[in-house]
Amino acid sequence: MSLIKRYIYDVTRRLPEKQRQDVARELQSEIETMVDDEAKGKVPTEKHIATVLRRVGDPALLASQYYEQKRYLISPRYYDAYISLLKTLLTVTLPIIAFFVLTLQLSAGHKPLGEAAISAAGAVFEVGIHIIFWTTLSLVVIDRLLTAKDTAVRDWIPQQLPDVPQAYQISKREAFIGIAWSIFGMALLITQIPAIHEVVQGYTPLFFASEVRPWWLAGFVVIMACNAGVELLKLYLGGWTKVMVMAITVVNTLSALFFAALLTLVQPIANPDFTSRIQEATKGTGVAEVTESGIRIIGLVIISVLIGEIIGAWMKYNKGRKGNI
Amino acid sequence: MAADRALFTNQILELRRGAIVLAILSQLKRPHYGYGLLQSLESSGVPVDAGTLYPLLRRLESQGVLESVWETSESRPRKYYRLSDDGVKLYGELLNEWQTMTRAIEVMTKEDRL
Repeated sequence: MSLIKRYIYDVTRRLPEKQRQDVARELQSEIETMVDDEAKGKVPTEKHIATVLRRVGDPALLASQYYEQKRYLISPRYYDAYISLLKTLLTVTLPIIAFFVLTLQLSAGHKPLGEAAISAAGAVFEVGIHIIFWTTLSLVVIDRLLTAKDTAVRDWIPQQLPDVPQAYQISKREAFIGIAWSIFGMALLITQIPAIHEVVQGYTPLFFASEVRPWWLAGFVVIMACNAGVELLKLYLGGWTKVMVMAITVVNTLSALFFAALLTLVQPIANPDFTSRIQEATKGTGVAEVTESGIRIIGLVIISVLIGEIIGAWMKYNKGRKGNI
Repeated sequence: MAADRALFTNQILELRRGAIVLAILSQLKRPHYGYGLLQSLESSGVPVDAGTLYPLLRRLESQGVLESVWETSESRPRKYYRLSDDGVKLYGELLNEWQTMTRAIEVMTKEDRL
């Protein structure tokens, strides 16, 4: 098939129907003229045609020059708002969803922890997808509607300018997320208190072994409460002041010591009744050992996170002090 | 070094991009078809890529700056473009702006020009 026809097809197939015929016609005429010129009076060969086509350029590129509509989903004007909205929605709602599904599954659904966790993960994923989809769709629609109307440069007033965050400031969102997770953790632990557990779950074995109850568990709850307190302090103080950093150092050091003690002194941590139940249900072996190792690994991770937080806090504090000379 | 070359090429492209429309409009007081305009621009010292020119002509027409007519009388049908009434006005304004700018730049670059 003729090279020119193939070229024109490759260009015009990327264009909307309306434009196709006229562009094709024009390109045909122009390219043929260029080929005649290239051949300089002799009969045009494929070589001439190829030279001319290369001169006109990549069909995809050419088509994109003709294409008059927007090439992006969300225009630069609204992109930042879109991203920050998405981030806020996801980080605030997903922990809450996880918490609700987990407690619902554990209590009303009487499911063991593993299954409940899987349900929670599934719910988080599903809700997450929905949030992303609907936010994106809304922004795309808003973008098309608004941009169609105004072509004038946006009028901004200096009052609209955001406050400059100083190096030592803590974003409110960060504090809220921390609080959400603390509450989530505490609620989980509270369901482990025998009295409440009976009411809520009845016959399912507790996750924690009897060696852990009640004092270690109580300590755990206290730790979580202290954590929540620190998060509230973050919210209240709003910045990495000396008080803030000392608070984090103290709370985190105590927490880390607590966990270290728990991991080394207490054996087992997971309730044997619980793990044997899972063993029955999944027909697995060595569930107890795996659970114990898993818990210890998680414990180590928690301890390193706590220590990391102390270091991070001091670093931010120092940065803030340098910046505020 | 490659980055510098790319920067230069980009800036040079930007400089020419602004002048291209003015150059095109200046030729279209009389009707031209695409390739004819291409050659005319090239011989005048303002070469433009075919891949840039053809879509640009179409866009200017859709904006009402140019008018087109399919000439079928010759051996090969050709689409001829020329300035519309609005196009004539735009050409005048662009030319004014161009003259103001170049005079100013001429003054600013007096010492450095060859």
